Amino acid sequence: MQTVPKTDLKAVHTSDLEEVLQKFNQHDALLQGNVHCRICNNVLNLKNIGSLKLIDGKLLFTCNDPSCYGSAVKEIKPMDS
Amino acid sequence: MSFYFENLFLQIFSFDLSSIDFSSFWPVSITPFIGIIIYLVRNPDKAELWGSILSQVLAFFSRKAERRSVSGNIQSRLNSFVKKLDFDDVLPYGIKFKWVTNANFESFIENGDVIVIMDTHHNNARNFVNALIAYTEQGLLPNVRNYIPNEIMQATELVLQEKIIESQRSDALQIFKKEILPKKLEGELEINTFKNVFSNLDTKGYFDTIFLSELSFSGGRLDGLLPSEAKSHIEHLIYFLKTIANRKAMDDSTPLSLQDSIFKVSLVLVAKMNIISSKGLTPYVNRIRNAFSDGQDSVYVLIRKHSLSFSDVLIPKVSKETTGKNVWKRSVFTLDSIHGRTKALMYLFR
Repeated sequence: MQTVPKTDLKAVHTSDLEEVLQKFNQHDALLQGNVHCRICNNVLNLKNIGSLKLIDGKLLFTCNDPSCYGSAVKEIKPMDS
Repeated sequence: MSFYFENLFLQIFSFDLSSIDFSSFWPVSITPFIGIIIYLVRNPDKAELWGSILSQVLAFFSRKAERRSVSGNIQSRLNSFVKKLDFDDVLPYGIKFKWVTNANFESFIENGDVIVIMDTHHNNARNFVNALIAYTEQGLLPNVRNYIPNEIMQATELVLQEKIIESQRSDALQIFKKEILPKKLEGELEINTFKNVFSNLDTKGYFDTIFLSELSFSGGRLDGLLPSEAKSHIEHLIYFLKTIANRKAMDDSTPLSLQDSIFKVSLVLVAKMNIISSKGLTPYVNRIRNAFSDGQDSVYVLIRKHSLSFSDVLIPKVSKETTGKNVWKRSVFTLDSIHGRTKALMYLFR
């Protein structure tokens, strides 16, 4: 049986997203339109978040636009080889 | 009444089980089941796909099952492609989801970590595209990607992503072509040009087999060069392959060797029946031997459909009579103006 080493992709399912946002006190801010994409500054809601990034205990967001999402995934830490 | 039950009880439990010939139905009922288990154990990606389908049924009742119906579906398709491609340094890793929740956030996430958002399994085609984009960013040519100029790397990723979607999740192709590609290529003339060249190489059977293979094998030599120098060397390789891909049938003037200081590649095309019938296989063996004595690193031997029967003789002869070692063999499709899209075998000697 051939096995291939795997690289981890950290992901939040949309059904868990609200709880994660509440943990960082971002849920109400998001619903009020006060959370923005860190790349294009687009206003975010529960439907258009593409990625999260944890920096110094704070959550930063990108939208799901291919350019912003593409920039965000470039920052995923490479797998230790 | 009690007598009736007593009698029934005695009839049932006095039944002699040894009188049944189990062997008559055992092989029929159990063999396919064992076969399925062996198949799933030997193909974990298929087992994962079936697991994700079962999870979809339970997804309505359980968040864990819903997550699994998303991750299992994507993992099985991507890992199946990686396994089939079987190029160790081009795509050395598969993918594994790590689901982040409110409960495990602190233990899973470190400062600087990026977490992608995945929608419900009803949106798995889009989930697949998003996961693929994140995956190729990490998994494609991980050892050399830092030496490859951004516009070439991006075009390479787009062509590979499209190829993976076509083969593993064709219902996501519209999303990729209508939403992702236009955004990625908007105002990016150079990426677009490279992408068109790579798509053409892929149609002719030279993209993953030769281009990606050579980037992974020789790309490390680009370390320390100026970006413009690195780009120039890769462009030599691209131009070499592009010229071969566009060559007309029966054209003998196109160079089939590239002697760049980074990329040293030769291609030997075994197709002409008149050469084989008049001179045998010796000219091909000589060409491969000469390529290695001239300092080439890689010799790719492409044997088209109508000459496939000669591979059984030619390949052992090359292994025996030259310094090259056969690294791999691939079934590919090639395209030329005379034969159209035809099956071929490609062998790499190094």
